[in-house]
Amino acid sequence: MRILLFFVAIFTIVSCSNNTDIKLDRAIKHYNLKPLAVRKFEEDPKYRLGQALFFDTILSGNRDTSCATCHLWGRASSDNLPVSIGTYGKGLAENRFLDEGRTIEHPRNSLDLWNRDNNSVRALFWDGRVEMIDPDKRIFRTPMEDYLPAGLDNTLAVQALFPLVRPDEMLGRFGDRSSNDLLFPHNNQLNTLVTREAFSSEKERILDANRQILLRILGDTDLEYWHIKYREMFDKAYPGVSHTNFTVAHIANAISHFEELAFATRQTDWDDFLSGQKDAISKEAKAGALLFYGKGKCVACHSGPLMSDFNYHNLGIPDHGPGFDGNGKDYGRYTVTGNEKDKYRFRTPPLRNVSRTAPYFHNGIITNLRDAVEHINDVTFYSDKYKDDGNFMMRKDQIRSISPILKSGLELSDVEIEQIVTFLESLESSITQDLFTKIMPASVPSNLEIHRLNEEEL
Amino acid sequence: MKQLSIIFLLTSLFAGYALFGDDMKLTFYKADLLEQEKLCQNAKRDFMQQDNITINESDETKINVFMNAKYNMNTCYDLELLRSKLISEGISPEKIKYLELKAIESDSSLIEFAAPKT
Repeated sequence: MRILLFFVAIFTIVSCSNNTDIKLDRAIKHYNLKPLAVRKFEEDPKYRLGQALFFDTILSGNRDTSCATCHLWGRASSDNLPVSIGTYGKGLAENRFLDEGRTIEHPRNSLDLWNRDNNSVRALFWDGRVEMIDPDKRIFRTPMEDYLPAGLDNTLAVQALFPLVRPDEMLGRFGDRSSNDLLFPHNNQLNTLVTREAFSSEKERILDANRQILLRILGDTDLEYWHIKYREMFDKAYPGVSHTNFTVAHIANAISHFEELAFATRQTDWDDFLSGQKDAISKEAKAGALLFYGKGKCVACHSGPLMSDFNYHNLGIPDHGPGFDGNGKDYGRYTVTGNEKDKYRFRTPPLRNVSRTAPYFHNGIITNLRDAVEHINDVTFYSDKYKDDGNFMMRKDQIRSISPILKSGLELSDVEIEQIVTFLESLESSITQDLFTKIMPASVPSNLEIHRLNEEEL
Repeated sequence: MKQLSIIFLLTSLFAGYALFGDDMKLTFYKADLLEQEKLCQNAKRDFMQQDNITINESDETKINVFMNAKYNMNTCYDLELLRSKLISEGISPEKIKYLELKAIESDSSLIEFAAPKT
């Protein structure tokens, strides 16, 4: 009897797993799923320049913040904070805090940087305020409008310009004094990137900041040691361009080039599976993939090679944190388009390495991936919940505009939610020690501290 | 005595199978049948409703929702496959139909897609 039961069990397991494989093949054909093509890693002079600029806090007004501060390699190019803390912060990742007496101003969660060179990327930032209009003619739509510097390579390069000039991210404010000293004689030097408090327009302010950043990096007449190093690096990265012709676009293009190569998801289990290695992902991950592309409807928004449609949706996320307007509210895409239909909609985040980039959603309100999937299962969850002050967590217009695609609920069981999470974990890329040493520089031209996590924090 | 017990057990098994074989098979496949029926009816409902739920969405989202709805219609094929398998193994279509209707009785939003048209 035991032998009979054993054979029945084996038959059931084998037939179920065959069934899953058949259905998954069907999904692969239906959606034309292919392994993600990733650019070959190559260390060239432009990469080295981009790497130095990405990690050098000298690009920030107070010399306390670099791109790497909120896009930490050890946190999969994010920072593990609900909303990022840029300048005036101390510590890194979940241990980063603002200087005493300051309050958090930055409204949104730090987006990861994986595979942003992919052709499917049309818009960057949670509200998509940097958009590619014509990739061939390199026409972009940005808040800078006609003031956008010429010669930018792609959307990633355009994006790189904006944190540099935001007061709460990297720029700081007029009159700031850096607590991060350069070598003698620069102790507690004034923020030279913000030359005055008031400008005729926001665009004029940004253009001035751009000029000052270039001056800070390349110098003018009295050259400091980092000016000399950066000039050498620029010459190698952009042969034939004279120092007087360098613009902030060259800085942004180099950072973008570094990001494209450093933050590419190489060797993921899911891509191996799509390449034909049928045992690359577990039975649970396969079941999760079937749900992702089927009953779970995740693919309705998480489509394409990066698992994002780069469109905008309201998923029933209540206000949390400082908000975009400083009063706790964040209207998302509406702040870019002014279109009522876009209120509370945010850009679909790509999902490669998503299991490593908690917390989730535009304001980081959900702390782990399982809860994030559970929220998608019931996007109206917060609509009848109260805040501590007795008010509802969501306003009526927020609730009304929740995406009808998900509003009726997905009815996923706990097991099915776990299976989707397991599938999402199969999108993690493996990181070799060799690659790690190529991405993390030993030092930067300014000799300022590099923001990286130590062994215990990893 | 031992031999008699074995003969009795085997006879009981055969008799039980002859009398209740269909029910035994159906019990084995019941969970699968109920699940497939719900998935299929959900897919039908989503397919019918896609224009309404994407009215304010971009063309790309409309296509994505359509692709997903179309893919989910595969569950109706899977249901038909399972139904054919059970019928070919001698289970009466009426018993299958009964279980299929039971599967959605608690979900009024699915009933209009599954109930026999009068």
